[in-house]
Amino acid sequence: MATPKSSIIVPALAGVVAGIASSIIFSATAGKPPAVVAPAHAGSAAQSPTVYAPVFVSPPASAEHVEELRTRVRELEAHARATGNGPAPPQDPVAFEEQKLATIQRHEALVKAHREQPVDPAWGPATSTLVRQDLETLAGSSSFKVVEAECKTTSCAGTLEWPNFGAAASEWRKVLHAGFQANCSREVTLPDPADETAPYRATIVLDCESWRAEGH
Amino acid sequence: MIRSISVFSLAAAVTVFALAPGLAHGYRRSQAAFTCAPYNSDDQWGSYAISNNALSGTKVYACGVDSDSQHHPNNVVSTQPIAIRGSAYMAEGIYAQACVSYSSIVGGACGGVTANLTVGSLTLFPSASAWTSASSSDIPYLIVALAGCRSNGTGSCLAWNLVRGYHVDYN
Repeated sequence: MATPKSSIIVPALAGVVAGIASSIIFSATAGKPPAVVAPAHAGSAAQSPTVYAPVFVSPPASAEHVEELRTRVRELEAHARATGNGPAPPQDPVAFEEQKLATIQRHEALVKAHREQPVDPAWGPATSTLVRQDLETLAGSSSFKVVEAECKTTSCAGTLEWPNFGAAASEWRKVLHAGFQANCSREVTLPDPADETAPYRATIVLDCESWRAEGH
Repeated sequence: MIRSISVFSLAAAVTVFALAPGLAHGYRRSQAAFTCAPYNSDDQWGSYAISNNALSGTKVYACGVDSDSQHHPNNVVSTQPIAIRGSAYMAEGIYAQACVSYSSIVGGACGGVTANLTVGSLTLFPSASAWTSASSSDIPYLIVALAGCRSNGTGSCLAWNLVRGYHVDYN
């Protein structure tokens, strides 16, 4: 991340020029008579000479100029939102629920995309075996059982069942951080259960596109 | 006079800051590994690094990654945005993985696991896929696993797998 000298010198020179220009402009403004004068202190003008202190007042902005600034601010705000670099999202319950819904929908979209993917017979079944093996190994030291594990063309999904939501909530990271033979990226969500004591199922989705591209 | 100097300085500073690419645009954020917390095992800190000083057993650490409304890891550079610096005495002595925890629901995502193939001082570049597909409210972290040390034959360690810290390059 070293910055070349030229990329510092050019902005520095531009800074000097901008500084000189700004100074000239402000000097010209300051040289004009004050637009408004105000007494520096209260008192009788007859008893003491009135001292006038200059009060700087910007020239009135035209309606066009104000509208131009408003438009520019709106553009900047829109850009910030679009790039995710905007102000912090509001910490209100509605925003939280929206985030939650968006996360669940994103996960469901991944599951749906996997379900709709055709099976590549040269890759899917063999990779399914690897994924199932790894999930079964994890299940051996956990409280879940493997309901299903299937790979298609570039993705896999494994459905796991825990005895209850609490068990799932304490063990899901174990699955997420596991070193799978199929070294794919993985994603899982655990939506709030209807009944916390009932058996709880979650689906982990493996995106194996990069891993497969490496020749696996 | 003071006012002129102030105006000059302000205008110059604003212009330089706005135009200098190293200041106004992409940047690197680094973090020392001693901020990592043990994930499920005993932990060893020393020399501002983490190392596994046990003769057997892999130790796993979770390492925080700063994220704010201006710079979230979903906006990192496209090539090797994460660099984990360390040293290893054995191949596959260090494993790393970049993950996010969802902020509004139980769950998360991780990229694939990356391990070192060389020994000595090294850099690991784990996949940032879980970060780049996350929303800006999700919480990023790294998982680092260190294999046990090499014995000197008398029950002590002769060589270690060690992580000093990590860099993240943002756009």
